Parts: sequence; C-alpha cells; structure tokens
Amino acid sequence: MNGKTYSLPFDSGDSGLFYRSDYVTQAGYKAEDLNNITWDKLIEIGKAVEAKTGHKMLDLDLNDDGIFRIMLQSVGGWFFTPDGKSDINSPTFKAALTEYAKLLQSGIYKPVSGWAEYTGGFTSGEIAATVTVVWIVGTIKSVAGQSGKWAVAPTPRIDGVKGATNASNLGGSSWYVLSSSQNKATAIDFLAQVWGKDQDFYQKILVGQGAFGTYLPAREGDAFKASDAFFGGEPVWLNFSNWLAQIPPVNFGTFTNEADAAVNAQIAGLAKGGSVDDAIKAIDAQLKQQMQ
Amino acid sequence: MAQSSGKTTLTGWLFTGPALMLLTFFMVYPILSSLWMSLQVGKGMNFSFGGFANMWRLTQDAVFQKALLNTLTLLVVQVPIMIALAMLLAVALNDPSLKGRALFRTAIFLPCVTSLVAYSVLFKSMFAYDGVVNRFLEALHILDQPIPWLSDTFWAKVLIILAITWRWTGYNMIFFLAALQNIEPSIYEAARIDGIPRWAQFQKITLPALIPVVLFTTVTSTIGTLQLFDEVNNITLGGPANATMTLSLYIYQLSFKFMPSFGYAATVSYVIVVLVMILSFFQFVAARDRRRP
Repeated sequence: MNGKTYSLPFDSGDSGLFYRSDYVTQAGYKAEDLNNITWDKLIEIGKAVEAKTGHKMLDLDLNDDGIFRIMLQSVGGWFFTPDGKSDINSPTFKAALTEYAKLLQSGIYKPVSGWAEYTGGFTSGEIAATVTVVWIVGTIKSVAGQSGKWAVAPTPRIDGVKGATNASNLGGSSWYVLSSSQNKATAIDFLAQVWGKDQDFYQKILVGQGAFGTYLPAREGDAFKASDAFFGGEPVWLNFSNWLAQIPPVNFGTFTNEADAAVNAQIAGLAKGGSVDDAIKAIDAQLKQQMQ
Repeated sequence: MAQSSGKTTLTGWLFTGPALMLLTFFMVYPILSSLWMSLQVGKGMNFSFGGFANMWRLTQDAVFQKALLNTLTLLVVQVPIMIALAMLLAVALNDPSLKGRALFRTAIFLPCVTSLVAYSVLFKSMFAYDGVVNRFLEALHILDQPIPWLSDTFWAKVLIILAITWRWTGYNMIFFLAALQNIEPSIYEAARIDGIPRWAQFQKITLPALIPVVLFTTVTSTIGTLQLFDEVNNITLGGPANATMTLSLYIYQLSFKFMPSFGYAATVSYVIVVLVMILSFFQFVAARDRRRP
C-alpha cells in the first residue's frame, strides 16, 4: 500500500518458564520461589532439582539459540539497531551472552539435538522445565498423565542489567495479503471479519490450538480468563497476556536467520568455557559478512 | 557420393537434434547462466554486476572456509576407509567356499536402496544422547558416560562419517565384485600350483586388476562427498558450531534460509565444480602412472 508493506499480526511468541511443580517441590522450592526469578536463581534451583530428584532442569539444543534470543530481548537488546544495522557490540548483547554462557557452563541441562528430542525431554517426564514460547502449552498438554504437575512462571531475568524484565518473546507471525492476488478483497474481508473482530474465534483457537492471539480485546474473553487444571488451576493465559505488555519491543530486522547462525556457531565453544569477548568478535564478523 | 554423405550427415543431425536441444536447454544453459549469476551481487532478486566481488568474499568468509575444511576432512578420512572396506568385503564375499554369499551381499548392498532422509532420521534418533547406541554401549560397559554424538564438534563429524560409510560401502562393493568376477580363475590356479601364498596372490593378481575400479569408485565417492547435503541437513543441521557444515549445505542456507544471496551461492557452487575437476584430474594422473610398468 503506497509502496509500503502492512501486515496483521496474529500470533505472539510471549515466553515463560514452564516447570514440573512436583519435581521442584521435591527439591524444596515453592511456587513463589520461582516467581520473577533471575537466571542465576534458576541455575541454583536446577542444581538442587538434579541433586534431589535426578532430573535435569532443562534440555538445550546446542545448535539453537532460542533461549539466548529470549535473554537478549528481555533486556531490551537485539541483534540490530532500529535502522537495521548490526548491533553485536552493544552492552546489552554482551550482558545477555555472558548470562547465556553461564547457563551453558552450568551443567543443569541435557544436550539435545532437534525439536523432537527437545520436546521429548519434558513430555517424557525426564526434564523438569523449559523456558520457551506460550504455544508450547499445546505440546505439554498432549501428555494427559502429567495434568496438574505443571506450572508456569514468568521468564527469568538477567541480574544486574538496567531495564531487565521478567518478560520476553521468541518469534511470532503475521498475515499478509498479496496485492497481485485474484481474491484480494475476499482475503482482506476475511482477515477483518475474523482476525480483526471475532472475539469467539480467538477464544476457540486458544482453547483448541493453544494459539495465543495478539488481538488485545480478545483478552476480555472467557477462555483467556479461565484457569487451567493442567497447570495447577492457574489462569495461565491471563498471566501470559499480562506479561505480553511488559515485553521490551525490538526491531526484528530481516537478517535474524543470519544472526541466529552466527550465534549458533559459538554455542558449543561457549559451553566448553570459551571467552565471551572472542565469541562476540566472531559473531560480529560472521553477521557483517552475511549481511553484505 | 558427396550428396549421399551430406544426406547421411543431415539424418544424423536430425536423430541427435532433439537430444542435443534438451541438453542445451537443461545442461548448457543452466551452467552458463549460473556462471553469469556467480558474478552478480545483491540480495533476493536485486542483482547487480559485481565482477570478482563474490570471489573476494570467499576469502573473507569464515563459514565458507570452515565448510570447505569440513568437506575436505570428511573426504580425506571417509573415502579411503570406505573404499578399503568395500574392497575387503568384496574379496571376502567372492570366496566360493563361503556359505550364504548371496544373503551377505544383499545385506551389505541393502542400505543403498534406503532413502537418504529416512536413514538420516533413523541415525539421528539412534545416536541421540540417550539413544539405542549409547544405551547399548553403556550396557556392555564400553562407556561410562554417553557420547554426545550430536552436540560435540568431534563426535558429530565421526557420526557423519559412520552414516555415509554405512550408506555407500555396499554400493562401491558391487563394482569390486563385478571386477573380481572378470579375473580369469586360471591365473589363481597357476599361482596356487607355483606355491604363491594367498597374501601375495592378492597383492600381485587381485589388486592390479582392481585398480581401475579403485579409480572409478574413488572419483564417484569424491564427487558424492563434495556434494554431501542430505545427511548433514537431517542429522546435525551443520552443527554444532558449524562442525559438520558442508559446502552444499552452505549453498542451501545462502539461497533459501538467509536473505537469498543467489550470486554468492552460485560462486560457492563453482568452488565445488573446480574442486571436482582438480581432484578427478589428479586421481586419473595417479592411476595412469601406476599402470605403467
């Protein structure tokens, strides 16, 4: 439209800390102990959980920087400046990568590879927690036998960084209509009537698919306010929609895949105790190389 | 006479014409077009002529250099192991006194008919951190700790080598078996009568007869390894830390995962072309010198 691209956002990547309340209780922690915690506290809890229950706290794919992106955005940092230039040398980036390296070296996680092994870690009951996006609820609830044993807390924050929040985001999606489409008017009408208006529709996809819409008035609906027995009777969705408002906004940019690849290339090195400064240099070099 | 020869030529061209036309459209044109593309710079469909800019970029690109090094490492380690194994198995399975030869041959050849993606997915799950392989080795008390096959830079390479060796050894073995069956049995008989030991028979009769097959299998395996994509994309996704990034996977990422740099991706693919040409040339030269007395 007038040479610009517009889109209708529909799905949020609001993140949270999902954990097995039964394992955490066995390790001697209560739900309050996991509310608005720092990553350092999570590592401490993770060590206690493994000592008491034998379960690793997290499972991490060492070829996927998802948790790093959650950390980075939680302090309002991103790979790029608002005008799309590489922003790897910023203090927020360093703070997030330092915290990430700490987590990688903490030993509280099981190394996995690929999505199936990652989700298998916690659906099988082996892993005690995961920090990820709201729509993982669909995967977690696929194991009916674990009902009531799960709980959700806000995303851990990075200690000692100005502007650090207990809220973050990983991904999300939008609808676009192609102006060359033969059915352009129909598509726009559908988006306006359903995605732009229909309260009930948002309640339905939330309950049925765990799709967490970005349409703010939908939060007034019943499904968003309902509590979930699977998560110990907590109003999970309402919590998430409250955290949604706290997420520091970032300009996503077009080179996030390149940035991910550059960070992924450093994860194994950081996990083995590599220097954060060297990793930043390498990420910066690789990203600049790929952006040209 | 002259007229008839001209007619013969015309008939000949008419017969080969359709094939040549298809070849031009589907082989010659894409090759020339990609060569032209490799000189273009820009993202997506916004091309501009960059001359040697992409080749300069190769010298600055750490990921490309890592992918090149990985590909060559896999080549140098995996191809000799696989060729030696294929030859050994072929000689063993060529022994007429061996019972159930057909069964063994089929079993060893069978991996070649499985889909690349299917076997890669299977390997990924078998070699997972708590997959069957680690469980088995732990049960036998060979390991105290599971091997992080997929998340350690060294073991990921080992896993890829294991996978492609499993997949392709049987395929190469078939060529050795065919060559072995072409050796005149009377030569072995004469050697036996002269009292030549088995090892010397292998060295002086079998091995020289197999040299052309060694050359052929080495060249095809070299080309295959240089184009390695399915296994690394499905088992490790090039990771961890680009330890199993290959040139083909990098070309794919440059074209379809990142903001597309089609021109630069074409340049990287020409690196493979040049490598195949150079390595094949050396292998042919080496084989020719060997055959001279």
